[in-house]
Amino acid sequence: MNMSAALSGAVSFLTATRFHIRDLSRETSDVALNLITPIFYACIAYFLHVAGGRQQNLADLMIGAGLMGMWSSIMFGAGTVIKAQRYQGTLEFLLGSPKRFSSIIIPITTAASVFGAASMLLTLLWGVVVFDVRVDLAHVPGMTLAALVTTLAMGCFGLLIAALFVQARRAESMASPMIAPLWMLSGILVPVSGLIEPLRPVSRVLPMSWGAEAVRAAATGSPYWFGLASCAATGVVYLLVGSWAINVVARRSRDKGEVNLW
Amino acid sequence: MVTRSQPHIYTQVISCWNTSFLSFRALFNWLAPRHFVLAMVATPIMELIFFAFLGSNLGVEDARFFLLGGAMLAACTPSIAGGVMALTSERHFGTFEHILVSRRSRSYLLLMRAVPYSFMGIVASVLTLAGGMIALRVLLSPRHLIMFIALLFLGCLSSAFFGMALGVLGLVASNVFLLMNVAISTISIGAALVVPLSVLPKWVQVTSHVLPVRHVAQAVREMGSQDFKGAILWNAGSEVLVAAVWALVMLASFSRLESRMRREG
Repeated sequence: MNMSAALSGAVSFLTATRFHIRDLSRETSDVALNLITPIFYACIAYFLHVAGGRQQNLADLMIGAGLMGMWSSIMFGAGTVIKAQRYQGTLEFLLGSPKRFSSIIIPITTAASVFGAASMLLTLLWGVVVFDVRVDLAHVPGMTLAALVTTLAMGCFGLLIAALFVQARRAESMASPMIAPLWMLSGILVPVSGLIEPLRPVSRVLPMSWGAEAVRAAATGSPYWFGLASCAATGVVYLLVGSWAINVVARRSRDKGEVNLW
Repeated sequence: MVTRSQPHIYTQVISCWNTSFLSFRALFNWLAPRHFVLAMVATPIMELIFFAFLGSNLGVEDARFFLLGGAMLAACTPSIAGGVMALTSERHFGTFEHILVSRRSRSYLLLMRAVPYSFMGIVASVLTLAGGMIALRVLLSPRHLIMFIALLFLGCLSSAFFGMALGVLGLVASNVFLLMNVAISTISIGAALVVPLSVLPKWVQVTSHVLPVRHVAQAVREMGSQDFKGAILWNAGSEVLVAAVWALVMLASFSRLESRMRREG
């Protein structure tokens, strides 16, 4: 692939992502729910923190609550991506497009992930304003970088979720019970070391657990490059696996004439 | 001129029960049990496990606290959502006008509608409780289980009336489902279902008295303590009062809305 093709692909991805962010923003109640729900998580985390004698770092809890919101955005946003396109009557056009199906879906899952990043930012701001959380301004660039990489990696993870939920008519019902276990496994509020031993390796394959580590480390000024690199690496793996899975599903459905079942 | 007398109260109640049960079957979109189990049982079980895990890591309360809180939250969700949908879905499916032209007493008709949704809340809660007990290895004695269900029915009724009051609002305002989700999240904190009541700010503790399930939660937390009998009577009475207030709010706002609709066409 030459440089201009890569640049053209990046521009195309950014344009499509911006388009889908605008598309998802049309439903104001969904946007509001995405942004408000993590604030409730933050309040629960705060009150449990107070009840537990304020032993944990409050900034970590606020970041964790925001990341809980990102999980919800990804699971519902990416899980229902096919259903949403079917509902809008655009699924057939997307499937008929000459581009690879995965390159059409990834901007949508990334847009969902961007909403998750926005909810994380809002939750952190809520923590700063309401719960007097201290964030050192010198650490903000590192946190922003870590959040950006986590957002992109979670967008890639969303591609796999979209592929898994392709034929699910009630994708929300299926996504809903999966969210809390993912909160636990990715160690966003309680560190992975708090998990039972057999579950710890599972958390290592989730980009969110590396991303959460990187954001938390960046917030305290600790080294975060390893977490960031691992987050990016797992994101790339999910991009490849998710692209392969969704392209296979799309091709099989076209071959067997099952697109109407989507 | 032909005049028609109002049917006997008993006939009205039976008839309203039948229509409320039929409307419940028609409007509540959980006709496939799999979807109900995924959304209303599996999700709360996973959430209560998460909160128990979080609580144990932060050194807050014990697994029983989160088990009971999670089970009560599982009861709230279908009761409130059902209450909202009992009215908004009638309009969505184009059957709301049929209610408006009915000569049945609005009070019976609307009050009865809360009952099936309350039972659904109980079913969701009991299944969640069973799953939670297995997952967290916490057992409730049969006596406490019966008390829990009896108390929870009051909480489900007040939740359903609260949901119906939101549903009346949903007839004139958009985004009522956003409001419903915010309300459920508020109840999870304000009614002390997932956090201890003592850590909430004083103003939250005071204002939370109007929230459904708040008093039931307090009574349930007292189960097994020395002065449980006094607490149960006081809190059950308070929950009945909260249910009555929300029922009145719902009836009054529905009546006002109906007269406005008739006046303005």
